[in-house]
Parts: sequence; C-alpha cells; structure tokens
Amino acid sequence: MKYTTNEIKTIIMEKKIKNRFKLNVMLPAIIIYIVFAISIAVWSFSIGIYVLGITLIILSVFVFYAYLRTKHFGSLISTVYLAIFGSFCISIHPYIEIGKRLHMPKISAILFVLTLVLLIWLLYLNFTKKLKWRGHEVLELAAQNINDIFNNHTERPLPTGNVEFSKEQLYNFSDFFEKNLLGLTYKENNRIVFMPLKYKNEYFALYNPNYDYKEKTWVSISNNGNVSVNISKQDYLDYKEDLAFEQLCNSLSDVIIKFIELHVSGREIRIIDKMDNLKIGIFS
Amino acid sequence: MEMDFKRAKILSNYISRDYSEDLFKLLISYNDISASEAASRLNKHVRPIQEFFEAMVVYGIVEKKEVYEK
Repeated sequence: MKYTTNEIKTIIMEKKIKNRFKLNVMLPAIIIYIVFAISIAVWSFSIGIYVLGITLIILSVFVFYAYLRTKHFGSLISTVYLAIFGSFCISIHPYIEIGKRLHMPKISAILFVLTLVLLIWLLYLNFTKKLKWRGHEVLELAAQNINDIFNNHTERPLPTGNVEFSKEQLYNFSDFFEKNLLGLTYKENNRIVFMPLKYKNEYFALYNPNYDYKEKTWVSISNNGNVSVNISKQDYLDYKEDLAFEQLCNSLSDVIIKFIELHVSGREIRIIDKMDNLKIGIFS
Repeated sequence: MEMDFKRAKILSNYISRDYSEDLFKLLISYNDISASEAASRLNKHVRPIQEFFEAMVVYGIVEKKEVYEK
C-alpha cells in the first residue's frame, strides 16, 4: 500500500528565491512606447505611428537573433508578430488624420488581422509559460530540499561528481535546454556548460558578445564526465537565506543530471511538469 | 475543502505533529511512498505514520493506492 498526494504540493513547497517582479521584462515595450510618445510630441501622430513601425521591425531583428541562438519556437512567433505589427503601422501611417475616419487599405486590414491572431497566440504562450526563461525554476528546484543555513559561498567552481552520458546525449539535451528557455549552453572543446538563465540576465547573455558566462551560475559536464558547478554571488544572494553552499551546488548538479536522465529516457515533459509545479509567476 | 469545527480540530491535531511537514515533503519528493518506508526514513515507528496517512486519506489530502509486486 502506497500513499500519494497532489493536494498539498504548492503549500509545502516553500519558495526559497525572493519573488520580485522584474521591470526589465517590460524594457522593450517601455522603450518602444517612449520612442512613440517622443515622436508624437516632436512631429505628429502619423509620424509617431511610422516611427513605432520602424522600432518594432528593428526589435523583431533582435528577437529573431534570439530565435537563431535558442531555436525557441515562441521567439519565432514573436519575430513574426513584431515584423507584421511594424509593417501594419508603416502601411497605415499615411492614412491617419486626427478627427477623420480611417480608411484602411486592404493590405493594412490583412496585416491587422494577422497581428491580432499572433497577439492572441503570444498571450496564450505567455500564460502557459512558454515564453518565460526558466532559470528561476531551475535554481528554485535546486534549493527545495536544502534547509541548512550558513553563508559559505565561494566564487570558485565546485566539482560535484561524475556521470556517464555520451556527447550526443549531452548535445541533444543542450538543444532541449535552449529550446525550452531553461537557459543557454556553451560548447567548449573539452566540456559543455549549461547556464540557467533568469529574466534579470537574459538581454546581456543574448546580445552582449563579450558576456562572461564563467562568472555566472552554471553546471558543466566535461568530455570524461566530470561535473562542476558554479553559483554566482548574485544568484546566491537572490535566495531568501544563506543556504549551505556545498549542498546547493550538489543539488543544482543533481537537478541538471536528473533533467538529462529524463531527457535521455524520452520523458522531457516531466522536466516541464517539475518546473510548472513550482507555480512561479510568469514575470519572475 | 469544507469541514465542521470538530473535523478541523482532528485534522489540525494531525497536522501539528512534529513530523507532519517532513512526511509531506517525502510524499512530494517520492511521488508515492509506503508508510513503512516513510517511517524508516524519519526514524519513527510505522504505526503513527500509517495512522497519519490514513487520517489524511479520510480528509482527501492524500490518496491511497494498491501496489502489486511484478
């Protein structure tokens, strides 16, 4: 006879990371609308719409770069949405006159409908956490079973054991890791590095060519199976308490190894389930 | 979950036991666990652990499933 429960998971799983709303999630939208508002103030509403369109298309190029880096499906949808919304704004701007009824050309009407459809799709993806960077969840899972408290953080990577995965298995998991926005991976000559990415860091990690991931939080697996873990001071301080550092490193290593095992056995959905069960907000 | 005061009192009596949180954590970590395994992990006697689980089953917090040897 065995006992099981689904009722109390969210009550018992106490969150170990500070849950703060990150304003930088909204940064692109804030920049776009500031540019839009300035354009209206300096020129006219029609020019403002034109500038908005250009800004959205420029942004779509950045998001497309993120898609090329991660192959994340949601980034491709975002790229198409931004490009179509931008094109709609550009196509409609000559016809906008304040106080007069807008006569939309046929092409603008088609772009408008496409924009709405993609917007609804993106909202759905957002609420189902398909557009969210999952580093917060990975670090939360690592901390779940750690109750010992004492500050012994060190900036040096900690060896945590040895595993036997083939290079192909690790590379396949690396694709999964990036496609599902768990973080970014870096393939070096003698090892592969998995860096869980939180909302706080994603712009720098994606768009800064000199981004020093070695200073961040990562789990690396070398060609001969040695596992090392580094937890950045910033991520360590994001926990509510000074968790026992060695235990935390070992636990983070266990989480990634468990994820790889689930991926190798074709149960990737369980990885997503584990993160979803934490019920962490979409902007955290 | 609706319940009268008497039932809430009994439930709170179980929940307030010093090992209740550890038991729930074990349940979550292992997805399913037998009373004897949970008791051995917490270094407790199996009877109070089984009694605790059975009470949680009555309140609909925990589900019980038969396990057959393969």
